[in-house]
Amino acid sequence: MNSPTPAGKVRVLLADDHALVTEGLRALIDRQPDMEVVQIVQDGHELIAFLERSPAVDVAVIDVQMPLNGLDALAEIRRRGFPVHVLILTAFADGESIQKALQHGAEGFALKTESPNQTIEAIRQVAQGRLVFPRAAQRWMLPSREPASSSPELSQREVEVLEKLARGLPNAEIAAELTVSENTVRFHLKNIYEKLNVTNRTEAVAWYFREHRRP
Amino acid sequence: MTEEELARIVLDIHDGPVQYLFSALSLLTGVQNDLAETDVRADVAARLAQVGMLLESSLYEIKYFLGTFRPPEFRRRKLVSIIEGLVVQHEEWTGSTVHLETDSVPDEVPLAVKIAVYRVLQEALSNANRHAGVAEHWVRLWGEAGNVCLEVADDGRGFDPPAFDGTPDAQFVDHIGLHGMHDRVALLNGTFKLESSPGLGTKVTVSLPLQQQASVDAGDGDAP
Repeated sequence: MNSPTPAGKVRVLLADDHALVTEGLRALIDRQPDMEVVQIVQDGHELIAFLERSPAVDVAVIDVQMPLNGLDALAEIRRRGFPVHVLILTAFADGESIQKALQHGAEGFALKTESPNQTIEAIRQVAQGRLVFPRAAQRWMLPSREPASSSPELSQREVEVLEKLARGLPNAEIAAELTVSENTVRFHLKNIYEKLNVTNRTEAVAWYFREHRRP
Repeated sequence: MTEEELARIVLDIHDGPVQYLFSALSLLTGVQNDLAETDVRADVAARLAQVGMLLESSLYEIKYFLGTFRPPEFRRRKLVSIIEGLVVQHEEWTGSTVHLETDSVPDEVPLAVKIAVYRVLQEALSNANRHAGVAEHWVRLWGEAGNVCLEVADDGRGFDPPAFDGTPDAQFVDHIGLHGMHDRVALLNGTFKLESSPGLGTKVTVSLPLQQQASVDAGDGDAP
């Protein structure tokens, strides 16, 4: 994936056939100190063609309902291996779209029926490599690799850290609740990731939720 | 109203008001950001914030409308996908957690059975949300010996369930949704079981035969 340089701005591409939406979002994004719109396209074909000749995009914000629909365009982007983070932006939060977005490798899913500030924040998160999905998407977030074993031996402390992680707490708050330093939390997280054979928080939390469903 | 007419209305609202409102809100937020750096009068800033809240409320209401009236597309979609969609929508709207498990659900399920399973789950989750007083529900959907089965459970308040054997139900009006579920399942020669008692949670279990007579009406069709 492209990573914006620390001093650089997140380069955003908007793909939507509703010109009003892209103009509105551009006005808002260009006012942010840390991001800028580098291209607007109106359908999936234009989107693929643009990424083909100009890969200097960090986040592509893609509408679902447009010619060559956004989810098919996403599948094509991943098939061709374009190094871009993808945020799906749609008016419909239906299970089928959320599931397809995840399966095809989107990093985020934002809604036009919610405040545009949430879209801006989602762009920011996705640019940093985080996954931003509605809570309901957890059921489909399976790590691509099989866990090291069906019940890895987590220590009592690691289980406590994982529980707090699953509640969505950042490291600083986990540290405060356990009265340990943030470094200690990071140390526990590293061990948890190794034992679960996952690489990040989202995958660890997904593992937790799968394991804690009622039999 | 047919499914096609409803889908058209939903699409018109999606292509029109949703896009306009989202765009207006983006522009307004940009203006508010600009003004935050100037010494704008407090009452002007407050009125702009009020405009923003009104726009957001409109979008919020449209979100419910789209969710409620967008047809589930019973014919095209498989039962598991339809049920996942309903569960996701319920979680989004209520903030509750639904643990869904599916096992050996056949790909081919008669239309009437798909609709019945959907309606029973919709009613059971809605009841649980209104009455159980808990924010966690368990749903299982599985295939078994020529039947498709659904179980909806919670650890909530519970109640004394009515008998479904024709005995007059003194609380019929309060239990109308339960009788509706029971009758819908009976119409398809299925079985309906309701287990509940005060303080001990509620469990609804339904089993519907996959073999349906061709004459069985699909009920209320594809309308939501």
